[in-house]
Amino acid sequence: MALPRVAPGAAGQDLQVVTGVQSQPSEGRRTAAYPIQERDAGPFRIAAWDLIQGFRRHEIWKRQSANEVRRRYRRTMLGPIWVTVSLIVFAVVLSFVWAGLFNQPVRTFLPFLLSGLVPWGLISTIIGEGTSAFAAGETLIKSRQFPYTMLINIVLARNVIIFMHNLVGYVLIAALCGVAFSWASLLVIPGVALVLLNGGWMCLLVAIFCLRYRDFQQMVAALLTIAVFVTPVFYNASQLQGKRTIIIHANPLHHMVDLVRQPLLGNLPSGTSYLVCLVCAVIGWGLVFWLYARKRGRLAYWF
Amino acid sequence: MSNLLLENVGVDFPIFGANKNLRLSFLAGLTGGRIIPNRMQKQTVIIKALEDVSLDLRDGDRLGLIGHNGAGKSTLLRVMASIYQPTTGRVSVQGRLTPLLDLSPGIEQEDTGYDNIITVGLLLGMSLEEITEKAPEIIAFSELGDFIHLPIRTYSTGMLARLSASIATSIDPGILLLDEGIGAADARFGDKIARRMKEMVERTEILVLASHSEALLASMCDKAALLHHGKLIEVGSFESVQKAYHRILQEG
Repeated sequence: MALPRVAPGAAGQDLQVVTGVQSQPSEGRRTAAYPIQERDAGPFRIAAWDLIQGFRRHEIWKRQSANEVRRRYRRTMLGPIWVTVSLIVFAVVLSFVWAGLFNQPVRTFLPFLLSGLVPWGLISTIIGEGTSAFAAGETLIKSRQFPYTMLINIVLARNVIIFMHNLVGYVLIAALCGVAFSWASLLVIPGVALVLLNGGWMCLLVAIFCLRYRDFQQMVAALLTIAVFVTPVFYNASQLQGKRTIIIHANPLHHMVDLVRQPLLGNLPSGTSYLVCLVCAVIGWGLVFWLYARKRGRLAYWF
Repeated sequence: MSNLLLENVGVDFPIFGANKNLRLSFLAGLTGGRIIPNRMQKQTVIIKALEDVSLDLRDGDRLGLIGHNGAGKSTLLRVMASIYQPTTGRVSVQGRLTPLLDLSPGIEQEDTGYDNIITVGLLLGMSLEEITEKAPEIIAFSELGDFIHLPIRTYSTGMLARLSASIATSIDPGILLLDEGIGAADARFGDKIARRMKEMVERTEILVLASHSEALLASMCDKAALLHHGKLIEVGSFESVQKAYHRILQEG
């Protein structure tokens, strides 16, 4: 049973530009090769290649993330719905107990709480799982060259899948509690997009540091635990007065949560939130891209 | 028109977290590359895994890597595969790199054999179309039958080895980099896989194979390179390098 023969030189290399092709798909769609072959491929060129190709080879990260979610809940009766169920149970129980604290009826407090927990879960898990994104990819990184941000995209995609499950759960609860959805609710989509845009650079940043310095994993876990209380997830930002509001409004995580929460409650998020998240994304990606370009070549040595 | 060019390539591994006693005992017993205590950063010991290695491989070259354990064969393969950026020197590759250093990257016990074929194929660098096209042929060759639809955790070691070898030998080789271990399968399958391996190697443009088995090297390679404590001592025809290696072994 002979395999199709590849004639030498038929892999379609452009000898002028000196780039190779890493794999040979059937209809001539190329997957761009690691640009080490280009004469002056500097670290920034390589980092750019990594980010672009890591995104473009979506069949890998879509498949890996879906498989990982499926695997985590294999042989359980509820499957990934477990996450949603446990989140809703948590929110319901907490609402019944805390509604008294905040002097609100459960009917208003529960959707408020849940609409904050869902995006917070997305953000905090992306950052939390980022701490092991590269460390867990040791066998892969040492088996061949590939765009390492693929590992970050897998984390992001995994969490989007869980988020979608939670979103469905939220919509059911919100409908039961009589939340007035409006056209503003469609702003969930750009909200999530901005959350992911920021989550991406945060995840990559954390992944790089945690691979090199194992202390960072502990630090990030501790910071996230603190952050959930400094970010208005369980309470409303308007409930704070005076100097404390500055801390809240300077916290980009608050704006990221709000961009998803407000539409889920039928409200328009504030323009400040959009601005903060955009600026954060630009600065964040700028910094992380520079760091990644400098350190990418050393990553394989850090295991 | 493939070309694999290494110019004065050196690879230094920093060993993080090696405490003082460990470092002192390292200096006492050198088995691998050379160990340089790094005085600037007291926490890291540096292992010089490769030192000043230069090679120029062209279309048709079949190079075998010979050397003692820890001489740097696997490290050299990984530098060629662009996994490690060299600490000094330069690697230039023209052509399609197909490294087979890890037989089955990303294999998952809970997934079925078929799922793993796709996953491993993707992680070995094939596109989704390519691996899906090749899957039926791989399944037929591996002789796993209906087991292909069961999770890998139900497989015996031999079955897993057959599956891994079948997937690995289905890639379209360009510049093939092989670390030893690809032949590990059960006896009856051994001949089949050896034949398929040979067929695959015939289609390579450049082959680099690291192995301790001189019989395997002799059957696949016409050139060889001898590594000794990270340095390239001898490069040339297989016979001459083999003689040099035996000389070194006898000198102790």
